[in-house]
Amino acid sequence: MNAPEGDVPSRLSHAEIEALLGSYALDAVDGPEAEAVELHLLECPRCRAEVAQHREVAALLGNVGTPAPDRLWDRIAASLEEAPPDLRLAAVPEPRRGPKAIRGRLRVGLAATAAAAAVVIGLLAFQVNRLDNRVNNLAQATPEHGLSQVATAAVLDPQARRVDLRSPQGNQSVQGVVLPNGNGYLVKVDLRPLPARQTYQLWAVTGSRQVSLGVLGADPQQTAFSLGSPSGVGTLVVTVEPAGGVTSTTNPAVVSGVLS
Amino acid sequence: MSAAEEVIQEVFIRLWHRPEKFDPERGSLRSFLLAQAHGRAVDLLRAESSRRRREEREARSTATSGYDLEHEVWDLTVADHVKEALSGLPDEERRAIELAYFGGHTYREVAVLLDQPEGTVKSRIRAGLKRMRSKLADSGVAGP
Repeated sequence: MNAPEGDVPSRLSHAEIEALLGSYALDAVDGPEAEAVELHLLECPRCRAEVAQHREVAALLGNVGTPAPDRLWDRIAASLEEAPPDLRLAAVPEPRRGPKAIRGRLRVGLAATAAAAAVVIGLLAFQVNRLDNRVNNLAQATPEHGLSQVATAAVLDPQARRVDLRSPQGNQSVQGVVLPNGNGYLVKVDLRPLPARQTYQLWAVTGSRQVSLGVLGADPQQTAFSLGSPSGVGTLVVTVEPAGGVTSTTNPAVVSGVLS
Repeated sequence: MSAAEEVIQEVFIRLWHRPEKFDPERGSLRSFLLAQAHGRAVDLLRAESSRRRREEREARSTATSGYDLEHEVWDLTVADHVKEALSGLPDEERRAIELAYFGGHTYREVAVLLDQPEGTVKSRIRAGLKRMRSKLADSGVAGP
């Protein structure tokens, strides 16, 4: 295929797309051709899988670089307007190293630009910003009788958004629904019971904020919560905390899920 | 500040402001950031028009396909394995991949630089990546 840029047939054949996949994964396909590949990927799982494999190699290539100057990290840290948040989110492994240790391992070079992302492991904390102090005890706030019916009604509400929170290994899970008015219900809770000195705590992650939605207790069952304005909320997360809950946390997510 | 440093800074700041762009289900944060940084770096090297198109595409879909790396402990030995796998490729495949990935060139530009047909360059990049993957899988660095 030798069409100059801007003159790409709107439909490339499967074979033509396939031939582009390696280059595409290296960001070496441009313009309408790149868009044609992307459209194709939406509907072709086989090509998606191949690109994923090429991307893995491309990401590994990013490791081949030279160390970045120490000042780079300092400047990045300084440009973030708030103190680094301290909640580590999401189903990802524990950081292996602190920022100090990482600093020496930063890599750059244009080759390279990419490679500098080596620091990421320590930066998972970046996923979270400020923490609100809205810790409350939902179990007390909600009359226990009647919750099941309300929760069931919420599940059946066609406007309810679902959220499926899962642990990295998939052995613990929580299913919830959120109504348009912001009322939410954890309708099926499958979390390992904790010792009495600990509690589960539910958090909402909005684009720029982290808010506690409540303390769930050591052996949570169906629970109600309120998101306030649900539109911006993307992810719900449950952590394990000392009994009584905390206003901020350094603990990893036990389960997490994205609102559908 | 060098262009490379600007790119890194931008990628981190974007993650800070738009953490939802990263979907852990799709793979490690590391490979996500590597891919973002590479894309940004390439944009810097190319015309404004291509940058605009990329931004429009990104706006349409938050997650591009394919960040499926398993969460792994990364180590300096990884870089050694990668260098070894790269240098073990047939010269013409290695050159094409280097120019595309490290040089930030499109495959069409690579074809001009190497004075080879575009179709040949496309196949060499694709074949080289497959070959590297299989070597890296043998050394346990890439998934099977």
